[in-house]
Amino acid sequence: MKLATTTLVFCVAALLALGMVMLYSSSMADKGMHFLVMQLLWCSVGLVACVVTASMDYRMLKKFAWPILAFAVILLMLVLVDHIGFKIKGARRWFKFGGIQFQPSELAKVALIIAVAWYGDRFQRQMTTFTRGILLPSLLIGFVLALIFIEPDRGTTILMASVTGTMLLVAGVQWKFIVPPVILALMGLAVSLIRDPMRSKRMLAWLHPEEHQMDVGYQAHQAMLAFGSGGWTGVGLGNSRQKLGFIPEHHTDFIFSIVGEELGLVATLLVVLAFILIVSCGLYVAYRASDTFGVLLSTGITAMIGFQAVINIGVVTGALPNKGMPLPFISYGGSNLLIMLTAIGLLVSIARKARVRESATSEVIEPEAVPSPQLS
Amino acid sequence: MVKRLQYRRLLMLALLLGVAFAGLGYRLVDLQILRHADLQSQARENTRRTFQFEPRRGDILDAKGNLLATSIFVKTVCADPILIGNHQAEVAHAIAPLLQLKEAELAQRLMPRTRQDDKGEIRTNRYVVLKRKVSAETWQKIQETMAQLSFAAEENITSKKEKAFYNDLRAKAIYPDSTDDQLRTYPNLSLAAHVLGFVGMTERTNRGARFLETVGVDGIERTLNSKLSGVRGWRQTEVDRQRRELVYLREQNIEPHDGLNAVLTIDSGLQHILESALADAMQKESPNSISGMIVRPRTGEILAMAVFPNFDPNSPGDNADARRNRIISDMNEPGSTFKIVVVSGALNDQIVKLTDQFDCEHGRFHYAGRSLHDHAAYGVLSTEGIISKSSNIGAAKIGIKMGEPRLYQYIRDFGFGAKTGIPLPGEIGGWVHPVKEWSKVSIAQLPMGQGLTATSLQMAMAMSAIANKGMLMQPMLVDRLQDQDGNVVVKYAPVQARKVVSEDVSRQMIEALKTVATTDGTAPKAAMEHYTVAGKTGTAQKVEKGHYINRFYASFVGFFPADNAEICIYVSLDDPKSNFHQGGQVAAPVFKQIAEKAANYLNIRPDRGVETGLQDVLVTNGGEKTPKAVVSRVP
Repeated sequence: MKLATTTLVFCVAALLALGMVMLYSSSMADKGMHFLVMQLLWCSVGLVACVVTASMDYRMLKKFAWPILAFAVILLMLVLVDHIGFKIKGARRWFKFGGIQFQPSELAKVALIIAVAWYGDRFQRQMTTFTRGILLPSLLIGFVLALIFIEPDRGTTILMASVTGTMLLVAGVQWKFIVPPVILALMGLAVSLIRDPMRSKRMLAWLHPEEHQMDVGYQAHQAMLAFGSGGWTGVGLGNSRQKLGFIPEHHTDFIFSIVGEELGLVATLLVVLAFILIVSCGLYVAYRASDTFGVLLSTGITAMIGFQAVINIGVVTGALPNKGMPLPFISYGGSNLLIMLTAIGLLVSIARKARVRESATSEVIEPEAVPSPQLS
Repeated sequence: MVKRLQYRRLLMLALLLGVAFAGLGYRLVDLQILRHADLQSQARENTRRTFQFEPRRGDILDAKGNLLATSIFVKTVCADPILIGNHQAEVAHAIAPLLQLKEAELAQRLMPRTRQDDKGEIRTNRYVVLKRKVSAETWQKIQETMAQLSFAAEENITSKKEKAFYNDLRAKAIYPDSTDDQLRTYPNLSLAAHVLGFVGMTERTNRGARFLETVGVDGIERTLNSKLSGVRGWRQTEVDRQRRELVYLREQNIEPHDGLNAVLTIDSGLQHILESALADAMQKESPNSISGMIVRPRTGEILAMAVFPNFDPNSPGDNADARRNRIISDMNEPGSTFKIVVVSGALNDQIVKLTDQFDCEHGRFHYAGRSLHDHAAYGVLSTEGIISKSSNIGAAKIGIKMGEPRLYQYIRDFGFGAKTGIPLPGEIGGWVHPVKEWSKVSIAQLPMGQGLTATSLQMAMAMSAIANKGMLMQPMLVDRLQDQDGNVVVKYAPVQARKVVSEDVSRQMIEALKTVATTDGTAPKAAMEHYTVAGKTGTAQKVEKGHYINRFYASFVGFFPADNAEICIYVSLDDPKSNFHQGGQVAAPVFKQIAEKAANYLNIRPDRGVETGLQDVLVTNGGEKTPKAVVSRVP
């Protein structure tokens, strides 16, 4: 367990460090220090949150699951109101205080994971039934996701639907109950894709990248060029050409392409390896968690990080259709980073309370398992 | 607490994510290693740019440093129809007067046009050339006009996008081509047009971009094109998405080397004197054409060369007849001026002496079944008399005495039948048949300038050889090439072609030629007040369709001061239409007019009609103790 937490914290710290360096490298040409300073501010807040959550007992959250979710839902509703919510590129996703922006949907992600984990823990014996197992949680999840969906933020909606679905599966819901809603959701998604000309164009661009490299497929095509010119070891830190306006969002969602261009395959594979390690550690923590709440919570957190990383890297490399999704720990985006670090803190907290390997039933705390998040 | 079911499902999740990450890992290897070369070259196209720098075409200067041709940088004004939106009418209204274009036509050209590119995608034309060769001042005015343009629809707009559109319209819709163009101008208009020639445009492509390049088409502009045009420079660099240059990534930056300035031997003062005299004669005699040139016999330098009708090289037009330099590209039978060849050759071979007597048969001489005529019935003439009276029969008899091979040799030695090598395009060598193709009468015809053709330049150079102690010079038109700072890069020296006759013979010839411009000779009208003139008249019958017709070339070629020639002047009129057609009547006065003014302009020391001795007078200034010495020439 100690090895797992150390690896986890090390990987997160490494990704954070790489993220800072790459953020400065990719944004210095047009914004100078601005993004770096903002990201460092959020990161320090995030690290504090990480340490706090890591040192407290995660089981305390059971009592606060509902209030947290209620708070998140209120924020999600508020952001939809004019003059409170802040609009960027047609989507109403942000609160703005002074120079700081905050996405309530990021908080909603964790709140939802905690709520579902609490539910799975509370009703663990009825999870195989239809009403308790699928209907009620689906309604709950559906309500929260609907709020996110109408922002609109389809990416987060799809991500959280997958994460909570995974959690329900692990909680014990039967396949026959979970498959129909998944099919329904997929159909709904397909309809919304076809009805929205921009989304359907993105799909076409993904299927036929060469034909669309000057319009909707431009960003994905340019990102592929960035990876391609990187080669084994990259063009060197700071020497990216594609960041000079050729790849839109090169410091947020598409920062991984700049990593590929400047540092090459070595760095991109190491990043993928780091995510594999984080996911493995997360699942190991879930496997070893001392109670069902812990199992579900760590599953949810791990799935969130893992899915988000897969979707982002898939999009940036052109393996998936274009969908805005930050790469955890690396992309610029303060609220996302804060929530991700808090989630890591929770994982560590669960790891601290994990059961000892041999005495599978007892709840002995491993004294050595207390990590030091300050490492990062 | 993990149940078996949970364990299984966790394992599934792990497997799912593991497969996904493995897939992404492969995708990365595919992109970064397998497709590295292809994607890298595509990515480079984003940023790599090469810019061309045009060198400035060198100036053409006369011997005194006066500008004969120069280049100024001008703009090519282009438009981007996309940025204009639907404001064609307003924009056209504003800039049409500045561009001197018709407003309606301009508005039409500002309309966006679409075309399909190679991939079948529809592209809108964003580069429309409105006008080339727009001066820098006009371009500045256009820029100011565009910047101050306001549109009716603009007043009630709020969105940033629309504001940006109008700002772009004002600032960027009309723009200059990135490659500077240049305009060739000839400040003296038609002066020395046939020497200078003119320039034209040719299209050159470079990496898909098309350029219009200035090239010399005729005259010195053409022969010295490679020296005048200079060397292009370029810059290989990278740009960002907004096409701003990333200066720190410049790889190559080669400045253009401006073209060299050509300094000609032409003196625009003399050129002006020559052209005014020819223009006067053109009015008085209304010939088809008139040609004249001034040569410095010692060096072969051509100081002036003019042909009428002429043209303005600023706008050469398409009248090829006026653009032709008849002095070098037209040939005709030289006529009597050619007698200098046979006489000086005979003197050089010591076959005749100046004092030898020839019976000129009273104007009618039968030879080889043909009869030769003189313009007057002469009895016995000395060799000198044959020159001064221009007796055809006398010249024929000297030729017959000389024999065919020697006559042919002297004709060739004087430069006939071969190009002189003047650095102008279009020169021809004329026809001189070799001896074996001669008919029986050729030996009698050739000495009087019939049965062969020559260019005016050849005739002038041959006469200059006699003036230059028998040494034939190559005509020289370019004195030196120098760079923009005036440093001499190439200096051309006079080139001696060959020694044709001895110095002694040339002196005897000059004595004979002096008699032409006297009341005894054929050209008393060529005589000058203060200088002794040596020259020869020529009146050649024109040939049309193989027959002599009653039209003439009247010419006079002469030099002065006779014993120490400074300049040699050639004048010829094609078909003068006044009462006279003889060289002595028509061409000699033109020679005199040119010679008098040229002598004055060049400060040539007079050799006759002047009281001898120039006094240097010391003038003391107001009785000061250290008088200022002022040397003045008092004739």
